[in-house]
Amino acid sequence: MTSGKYPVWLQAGVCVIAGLCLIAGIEAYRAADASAHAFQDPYLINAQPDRLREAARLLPDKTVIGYLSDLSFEEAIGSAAYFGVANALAPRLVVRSADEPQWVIGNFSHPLDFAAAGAAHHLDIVRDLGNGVVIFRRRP
Amino acid sequence: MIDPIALLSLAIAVALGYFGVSLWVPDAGGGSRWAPLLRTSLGAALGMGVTSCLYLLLVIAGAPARPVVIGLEVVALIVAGAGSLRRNAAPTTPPSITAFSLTWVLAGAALLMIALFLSAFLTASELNPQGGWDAFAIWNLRAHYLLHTETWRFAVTSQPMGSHMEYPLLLSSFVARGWLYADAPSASVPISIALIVSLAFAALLGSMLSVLRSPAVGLLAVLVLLANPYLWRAAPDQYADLPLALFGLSAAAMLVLDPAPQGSPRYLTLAGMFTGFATGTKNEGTLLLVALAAALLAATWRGAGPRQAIRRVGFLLLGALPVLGLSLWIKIFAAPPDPLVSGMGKDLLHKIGDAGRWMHIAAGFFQGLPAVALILLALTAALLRPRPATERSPACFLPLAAFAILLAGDFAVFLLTPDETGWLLATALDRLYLQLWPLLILGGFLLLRRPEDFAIPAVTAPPPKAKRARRSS
Repeated sequence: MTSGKYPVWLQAGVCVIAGLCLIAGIEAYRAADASAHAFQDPYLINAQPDRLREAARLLPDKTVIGYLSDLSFEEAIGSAAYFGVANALAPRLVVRSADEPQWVIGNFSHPLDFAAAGAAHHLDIVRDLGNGVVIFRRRP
Repeated sequence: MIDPIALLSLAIAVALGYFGVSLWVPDAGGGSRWAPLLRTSLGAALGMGVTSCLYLLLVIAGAPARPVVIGLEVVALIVAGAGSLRRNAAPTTPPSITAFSLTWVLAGAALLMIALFLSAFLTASELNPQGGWDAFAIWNLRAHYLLHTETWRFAVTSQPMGSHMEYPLLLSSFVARGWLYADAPSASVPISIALIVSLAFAALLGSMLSVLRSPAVGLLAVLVLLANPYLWRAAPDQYADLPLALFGLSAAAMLVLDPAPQGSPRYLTLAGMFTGFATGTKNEGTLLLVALAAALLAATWRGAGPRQAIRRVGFLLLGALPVLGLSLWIKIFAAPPDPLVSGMGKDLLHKIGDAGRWMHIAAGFFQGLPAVALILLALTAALLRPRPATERSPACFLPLAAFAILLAGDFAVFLLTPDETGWLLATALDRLYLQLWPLLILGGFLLLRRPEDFAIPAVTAPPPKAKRARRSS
């Protein structure tokens, strides 16, 4: 491979384009870095496996589990909380309903009358694991 | 952050793909020094698609045990490797070309850009190993269910999940395969996949254009590709749009690299296989298959007539058929109905006749354009200028034709969708542009001159004999 001679305008133009691409890359780097630092696991997805470790030990494996929460699915935080639990308890299928499955996981953002919340869906508390995590079971 | 076992699972997939590409299209890249990088990046796409489909079939069949999966893949790797080495015993001589004098500047800039990209990717992945919303709500969540035969149907359940359980399974299956290797659902597996896909994406575009045009063109293309800021966010988000774009670019690569004027069945079927993987990755993959088939039909029809056009599209569809068949089987017999498809017919005529809706979507498409990256592409085009018509083969137009069809198809989906268009424009448009971006760059650079085309011819002094003759006269 040999090198020939090229017009100055071409060499300058190629350098300018390479430089502009690099500037765009540096800007993209800054934006991506700032965004990553500003939003570190904003929905606490990575905290859920530890928070739900005991529940994962107690709940039956590879089955359908119901879900009960005080957070609305209409809000992003409610949906994110649900997906955090769904990932932590997988390969159980955590469904967005507390009315049919035999076992239901409660995921609450603040203290409330968990027994009453479960009773509204014909559920009894099996274990209150603290930190807003409650295991329910359907009444016979 | 990145588990060595996760990397090993990826290395096996990439190596399997590399040998597969070398066996099926041994002349891909010819004798170019960029051919190994081209085959490796194509191999990443092929290996990912093949091992993912194999794993999914094993899960459905009830044999997703670690020794079975690893054993099958290692045996396939040994067989493909041995076959490939035997077949590639006689290397061809690379053609001698005159390199652009500032290729080293472009190489330095591209390396710096890739280093910046890697740094941003690793930082973002370390701080957010769960990836973006779709990663933890769709792709990686469903991968958990694909770890066991008893639970694979959970990945396509119709139970209320608030997720897209009707989406194809290829990416989730590939993540599950990595978790099987790692023996745990480690976050490093989807992170490693996103990293390898991103690198293969840039390497494929760069090496393909280096082979087809020149190294300077390949490096310029990599720089313009990475000037799109959305790529920097989408990669650590672990979204499926990047693997989809890689499959799309790989399919386009096979069509433009095909050296046979009448269309080689091997290149065409491999292009079809890549589009099949795209259909198994996201619903937009089906649109990609239609766009590539239509672009190929139109380009061949114009140049070689209808018979050749139908033949080539036939080979393309033949290659897509196995994975397309698997995806369709899952869609028809296992997955819940797609709300997008079932909702499209609702108020169809009203939506088509609503001028305000057209304007709203068109404005959204315009505002969502990656402006800086497009300006850089336009500046490059203005600098290098189009190739003379005599140098342009019909294949050069394929990526741009596919790009135009995909853009029109995406616009039609936005027009007919039952979802709120404002929300879709805000959340999905930049990802759609990411899928289209490599096709636009490939098409653009195939139609532009190379810097090497502007070389100043060396001025040679007239032979001394002639001078003497003139003086004497």
